[in-house]
Amino acid sequence: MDGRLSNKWRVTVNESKFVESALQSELRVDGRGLYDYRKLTIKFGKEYGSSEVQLGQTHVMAFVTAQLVQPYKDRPNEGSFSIFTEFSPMADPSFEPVHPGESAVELGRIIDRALRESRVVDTESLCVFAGKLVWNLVDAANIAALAALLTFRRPDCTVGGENSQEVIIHPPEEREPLPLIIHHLPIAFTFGFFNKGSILVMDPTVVEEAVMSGRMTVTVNANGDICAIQKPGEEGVNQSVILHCLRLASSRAAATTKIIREAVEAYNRERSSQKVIRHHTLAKSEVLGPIEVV
Amino acid sequence: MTTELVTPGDVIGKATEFKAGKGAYVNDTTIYASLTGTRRIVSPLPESLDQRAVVEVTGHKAHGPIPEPGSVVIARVTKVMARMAAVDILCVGSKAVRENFAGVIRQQDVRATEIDKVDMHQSFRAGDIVRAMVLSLGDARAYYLSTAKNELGVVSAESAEGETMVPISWTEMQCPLSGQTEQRKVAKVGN
Amino acid sequence: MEYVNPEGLRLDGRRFNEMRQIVAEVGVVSKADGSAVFEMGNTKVIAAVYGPREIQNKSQQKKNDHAVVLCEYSMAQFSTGDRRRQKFDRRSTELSLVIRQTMEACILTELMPHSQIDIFLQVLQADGGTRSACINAATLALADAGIPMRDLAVSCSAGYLNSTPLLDLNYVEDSAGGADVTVGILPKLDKVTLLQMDAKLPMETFETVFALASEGCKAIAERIREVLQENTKQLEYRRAA
Repeated sequence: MDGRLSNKWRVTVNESKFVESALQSELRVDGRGLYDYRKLTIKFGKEYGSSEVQLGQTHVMAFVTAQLVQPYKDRPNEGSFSIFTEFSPMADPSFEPVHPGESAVELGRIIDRALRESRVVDTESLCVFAGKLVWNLVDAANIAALAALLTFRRPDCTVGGENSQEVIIHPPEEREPLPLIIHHLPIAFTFGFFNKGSILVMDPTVVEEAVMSGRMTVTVNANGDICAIQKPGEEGVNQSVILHCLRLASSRAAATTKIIREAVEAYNRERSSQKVIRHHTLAKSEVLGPIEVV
Repeated sequence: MTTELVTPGDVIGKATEFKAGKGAYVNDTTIYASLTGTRRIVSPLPESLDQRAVVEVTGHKAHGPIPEPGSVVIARVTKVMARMAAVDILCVGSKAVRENFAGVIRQQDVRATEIDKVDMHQSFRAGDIVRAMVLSLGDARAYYLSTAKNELGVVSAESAEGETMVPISWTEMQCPLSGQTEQRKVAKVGN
Repeated sequence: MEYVNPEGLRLDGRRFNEMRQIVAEVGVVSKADGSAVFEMGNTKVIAAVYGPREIQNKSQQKKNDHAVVLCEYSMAQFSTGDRRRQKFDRRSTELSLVIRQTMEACILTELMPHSQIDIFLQVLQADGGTRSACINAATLALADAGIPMRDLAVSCSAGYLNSTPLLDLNYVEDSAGGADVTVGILPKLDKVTLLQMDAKLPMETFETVFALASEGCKAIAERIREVLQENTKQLEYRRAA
C-alpha cells in the first residue's frame, strides 16, 4: 500500500469545503459546468502505434507493440490482447517506481475490460504509460489507447518457406504494414458523486477527486452500446442517478469519437504525404548529389 | 418493553418520536438499526429537556470497553521518563479491557498544583497501579491521562523489598516490612 | 452454444430469473470477532472479521476520526479446477479494493475513530459470482461481529446470453463471452454502491439486466436477514438456559 504517505499530496480542509460549497451552487472550481469536459488534444509519435493524449493537465502516452506467439489452446483463431499500465514517478511524487499500486492495477483492468471487445485477429500486446499529473487518468488513458490502436500498423506476414510452415514477417520497407481491425471505439467517461450522491459532476479534476465521496466510470461507444461500467463501491447512489450518467455518457460518445477519428485521419494524411516526399527526394538524389534529410 | 429482532438497515422509528441510542442511527427523518439484536425503547429521564424516548438496539456480541474522554481507568505504569509516564490501561471503570491500550501521563497532568515543579520519579515508579482519568484520545500512540485529582493517583505499589506499601499521605507510601517511605502521588482512597 | 433451451431452461435446469441455492452460516471461525460462510450454488466463500481493534500501521490512517477498513480477497489454490499458481494477482488486488470500498460505504466508520477493521475473504470454491458471494459473506461476518452498519450490503450478478437476461451466472455462463453485470446495493436505503459491467450491451438491455440483478439482491437480503435473526434467537436461548 502507500508506504510513503509523507510525499502524498492531501487536500486541505479549506479546499474541500470550498469545492463542496461551490458545487452546492452548481459551480465548479475551474469554471466548467457540471457536465463539461476538459479540452482534449491527441498527438501521435513518430512510430506507428504511439500516441499522446492531453485532457486538461493530464498527459497519457500509449504504445502498441505486437508479437507473434502461440495462441491459447482453446482459442486457436484469436490473438491475445494484454494491457500493462505504469505510473511513472515523474507524474506524481506518491507513485513508486516499478511496483504498481492499487490504483494502477484498477486503471489497467478498467481499460482492459473496456477494450477487450474490439477483437483483433492476430496477436498484440499493448502498453500504456501514464505521464504527468494525476487528474482523471482513466478517460485520458482510454483515449490514448484507442488512438494508438487506430494508428498501429502491424507488419504483414505470409506463410511460406519450405513446408509452408514458416511465417515470414515482412519489414515495412518491403510491404506496407496493415492496420488493425477495430470494430468500434469504446470511450470512457468518469463521473464524481458528492454530498451523498445528490450532486454529480463529469470529468473530475484531482481536487474534486480527493473530495468526492463516490465515482463511476462508464465506457460507451457511438452506437449506443454500453461497453463497461466500473463503480467500485463507495457512496451509494440511487438507480435513477446511474441511468442519468449513462445517458450523459452516450450523448457525449459521438462527439469524442469524431475528435479521435479526425485526429487519426489528419495523422494518416500527413504520414502518406511524407512518404510521397521521401520517395520523391530519393529519386532526385541519384541525379543530384548529397541530399538533405527530410 | 417491546422486544423485536432487528438487523442493520431495519427501520425502527421516526426521528420526530424517538432519539437514536446505541445501535441506531438517523438518516433524514428515519431511525435505522445499525446492529443485529433486540430493539428496546428506554423512557427519558424526567428532568431532561428532550422528552423523546430513546430507541436502541442491544447486540449479542459484547465488545471490550474502550476508554472514552472523562472515564476513569486503572492502569499499570510501564516506564517513567523525565516529563511523562507511560502506562498500560487495564480496566475502564470496572470492566477489564480486551486488548492493549497505551496511555501517557504528562508532567503537567500529574497533579493540580505547582505543575511545573513535578518530579516524575517521585510520583510514579514502573509497576505501580494507578487510577487515572482519560483526558482525550491523545496522539496516534497513546491516550492522554491525568491524575490531577485527590482520588486519582497510585492505588497500589510495591516497595524495593517487594512488599505492598501502605499509603501515609498524599505524597508518601510506607513499606510495612522495612519501614522505609517512598514518594508517590497517592490516590485518596476513602468513603 | 446454447445456454438457454427453447423451453427456457438453462444448463443447470434453472429458469432465467432463478438464483442458485444459498446456504449461509454465521460464527464459523471462533477466534475471529465475526465470521460467516456463504454459498451460492457451487461458489463457496468464507469471511472473517477482526475489529474494531487498535490501528496496527499508523501511516495507513488517512482520516483521523474514522475507522480504517482493510480487506483482503484471495482464492484458495484449490478453488478452481486446476491449481492456481499465484495467490495474489492483479484481479485479487482489484477485487480487494472494490470490496473494501463497498463495505466502507456501509460501515458507520465515524463511530470508531482510531481503530481498524480487518475483513479477510477466502474463496474456497469458485463457480462464478465470487465477488457477490464475498460481499454477502462480509456483510454477515460484520453483523456477527456487532460492527454498526448502515444497512446490509448485498450483491448479485446477472448476464445476457441467447437474448435472455439471466440471473446469477455460474462459471460456464460467465465465460461464455456475454455481458456480466455485478450489482451491490443497500436494500433498505435503496442505494447502489457497487456496479461493474464488462462486455457490450445496448442501453435498454442493460436496464433490464440491471433491474434483474437488483431483484436478486433484494431476495438475498431477505435470506441474510433470516439467517441473522435465527442466529440471534439461538444465542438468546443458550444464554437464557
